[in-house]
Amino acid sequence: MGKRKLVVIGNGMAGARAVEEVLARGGAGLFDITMFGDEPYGNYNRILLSNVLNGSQDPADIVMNPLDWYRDNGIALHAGSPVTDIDRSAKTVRSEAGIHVPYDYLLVATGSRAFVPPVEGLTGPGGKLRDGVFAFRTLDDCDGIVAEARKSRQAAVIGGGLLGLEAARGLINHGCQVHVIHIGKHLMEQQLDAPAGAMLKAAMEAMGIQVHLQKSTSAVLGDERGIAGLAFKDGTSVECDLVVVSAGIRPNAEIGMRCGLTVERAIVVDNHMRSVDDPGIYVVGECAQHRGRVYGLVAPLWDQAKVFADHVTGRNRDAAYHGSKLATKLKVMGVEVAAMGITEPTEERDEVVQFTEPKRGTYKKLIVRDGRLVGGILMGDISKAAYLMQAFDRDSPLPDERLSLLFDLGAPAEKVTLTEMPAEAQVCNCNGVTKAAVGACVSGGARTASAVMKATRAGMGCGSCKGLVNELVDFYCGGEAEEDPSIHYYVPGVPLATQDLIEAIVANGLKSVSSVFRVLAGGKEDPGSKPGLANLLSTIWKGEYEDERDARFINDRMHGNIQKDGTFSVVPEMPGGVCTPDELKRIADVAVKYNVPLVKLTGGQRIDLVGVPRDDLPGVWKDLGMPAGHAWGKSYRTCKSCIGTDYCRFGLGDSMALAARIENRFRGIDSPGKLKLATAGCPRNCSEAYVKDVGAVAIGDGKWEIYVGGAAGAHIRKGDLLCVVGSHDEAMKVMGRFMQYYRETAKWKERTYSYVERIGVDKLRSIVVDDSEGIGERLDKAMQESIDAYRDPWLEGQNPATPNQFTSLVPAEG
Amino acid sequence: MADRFTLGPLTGLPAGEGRTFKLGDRRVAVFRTRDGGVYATQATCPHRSGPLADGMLGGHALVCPLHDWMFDLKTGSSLNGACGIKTYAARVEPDGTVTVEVDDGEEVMAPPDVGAQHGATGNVATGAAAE
Repeated sequence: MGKRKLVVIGNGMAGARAVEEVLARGGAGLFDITMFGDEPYGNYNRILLSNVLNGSQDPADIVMNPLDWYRDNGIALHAGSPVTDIDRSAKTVRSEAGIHVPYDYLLVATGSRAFVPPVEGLTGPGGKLRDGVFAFRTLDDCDGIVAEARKSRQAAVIGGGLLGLEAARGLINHGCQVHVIHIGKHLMEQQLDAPAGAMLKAAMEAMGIQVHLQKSTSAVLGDERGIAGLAFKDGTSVECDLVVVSAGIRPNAEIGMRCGLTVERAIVVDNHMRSVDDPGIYVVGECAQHRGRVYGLVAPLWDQAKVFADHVTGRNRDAAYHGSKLATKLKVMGVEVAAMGITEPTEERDEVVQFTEPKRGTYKKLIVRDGRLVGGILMGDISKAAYLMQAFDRDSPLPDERLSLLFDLGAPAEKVTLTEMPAEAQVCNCNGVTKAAVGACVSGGARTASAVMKATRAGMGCGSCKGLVNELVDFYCGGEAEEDPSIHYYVPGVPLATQDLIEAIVANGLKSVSSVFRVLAGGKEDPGSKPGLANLLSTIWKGEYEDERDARFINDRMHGNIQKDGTFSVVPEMPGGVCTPDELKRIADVAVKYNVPLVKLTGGQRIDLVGVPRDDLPGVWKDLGMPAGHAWGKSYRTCKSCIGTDYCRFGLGDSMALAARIENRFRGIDSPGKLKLATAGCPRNCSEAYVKDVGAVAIGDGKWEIYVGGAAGAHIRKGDLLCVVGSHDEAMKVMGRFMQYYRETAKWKERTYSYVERIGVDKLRSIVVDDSEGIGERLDKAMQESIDAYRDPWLEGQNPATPNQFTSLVPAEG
Repeated sequence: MADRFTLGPLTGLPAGEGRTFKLGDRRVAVFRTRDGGVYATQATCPHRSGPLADGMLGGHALVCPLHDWMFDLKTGSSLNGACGIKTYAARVEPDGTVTVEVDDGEEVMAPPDVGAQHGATGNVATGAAAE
């Protein structure tokens, strides 16, 4: 079958992006692609036009696809050649220059143009803007404004929205006085409420921009020699010799109307981004109207382009667009504004969290509905913007502690903003990656945080800087970093989420890591994904798992923790932190016999013999005669405890006995991240049970509170109260169910503190405690099977699994 | 000058794993990939001297167990870092034994200012602090 013909009208951000998405899905093999564009350029990032206007970026910097890109991808580009007609019955389009092209599929991505309000003297003959008046929409507009601003004394911007303010700020840099004329009661009323608008006005005025509110422009004053000023309906006026119009946009939908498509505010599309009238015509971007809405921001367009590409290439015929939630940032130097969703509460149950400090220009307002963020305004300090925008976009549950939504409690005082951060500042301390290195990687073509992390290793050490790396990548991408789909996968190397992966593994009977790569990843082995798959397979198949040793990280091959000099640490098990004097003596004897360089207590109440060469491991394990303490893997690690009721004068519950039961039951159980537990005999919490993956706290009368998702490592979080139980037996049961559900549904290396936040404790409670899905018994059974399949890995010392497993240096034969 | 060493039968090397051998004066990491190939490289990572034979293999990519520096086993070139590693010629002889030719070319060491400087410890890459 020959290739189909895909014709794209519009070479702006939407059109070019849609084609990129098509190419990414193998579209070059399916389609001959022809593109038409009004402007005589390749394709550029329109949202960075304000940077071109203020002089911080060259036009060349904002080009996304230069003309070479079209040639290299075999795309026929007709730039500077607007399409005038679509003939739907003949399936052809015709351009102003007379080019006539047939199509099988047509994509309309004609975008929008600046709205020019009906003001006397704004336009000249032929409806064109008169000399000295500019829209702020294209590179040519930008060039014109800059040239004119250099010789102007006073400039007026009509429109106090996002773009108008960015234009006003840019004009200041060219040395003219700037007025912003706004018809509304406050600036940016789409995104801000009245107090925030007032503070924004004060901030703009502090920069020397005069803001005129509630002014409706009636006429442009002046004659053929030039512009003299603007007159307003209330009889007042301002002087100016340059006018920039930024009063909104109008979709370019005429072409749809002319060929008989349904057009309301824009061309009406279905959930596949297809015209409701013609299955061969798709529409994306600002010229599309979906479920009554027309979007003028860039994020929705990315989503639409993906749906279009999935659908037209047949990659996913069910791909559907469900609308977007709008969040935005103002790119004006010196004024930090981030806004999302609604600006005022609209329902009675809406909860408003607010903080105002007018003197410093700080304003924070969040609107919370049913524990989810539905609106937010941040001004002045937007350090929490990244987190809040993500929570808003994904509709994720917010922490009960609302204060932490607005402030970094207990964090270093002033977080340096990304712009101010010096280029040589180290972002990732583990791998020595600087801000400049992240920037260089983004300009080298990396568009996702994970691509940057892979290339620079930033964030790949302890991981505590990942948030900052994400923010920086977004910063360098001009706020348009792409999301890497692999963040939803269980491991990056196999494109499936945890539950889908488990289903595929079971359905195909895959019992080894190499077979998973062969069947589910096209044979491509990703070394970083191997340990995660090994872990999951052992969870699924228990004793039937086919254990390929090369799929394990070295710690899991040596059953100890690798140290910086290649030696290992040996940590014997001590349930609840308890051992006998005889065991203590044996540990000391082993340390003396093997000349162990460091004996150290761990944070988990165990004794660590650090610096054991691998050749000594079998001997050390044998002489200790104690089971492994599992201080190395992604698995159940330890259960810390206080002394509970035995000797403590405050103890309310027997924490030591519970900890010992937990340790003896769950030892060595694999899990997506390490599991650190604790039991505390009373709410004084001496064993820090509130900040463990799973913690049990005695509250008297035999009752225990069970907490999940706590952490006190690189990340600090108090666990969420899952439930209260009435006995050790009940505690064991609910803990086991929680851990099993976590093992089956978390992503590889996803610790419980992010897992519990992602799933939400309410949902976990309903599944694990209330058994709302009826899977409780199955979870118990699966956990029991894993426990039954457990074998102390240290026994391997006497019976190595692979040749030379415990030999550090193998001699040659001859 | 190059010396050829016999390492013994291929079965002495587990599939997908590496071992460190003492070949003359040198320590050499020898790997058997899952597709049956045998490769030899310098024994330690140029970054912080991590034991490369303990690394993860995926296809022909080798990941150092200490800080995830990644190398191509075939060429020694770096897949994510500042510098590559030295490789040696390794092969499986018709009788099934593995031989490695050790030449006296320089092993690669990274300049001290490359990579981890602050706070990096032996196990950050695995997040496997002892507890």
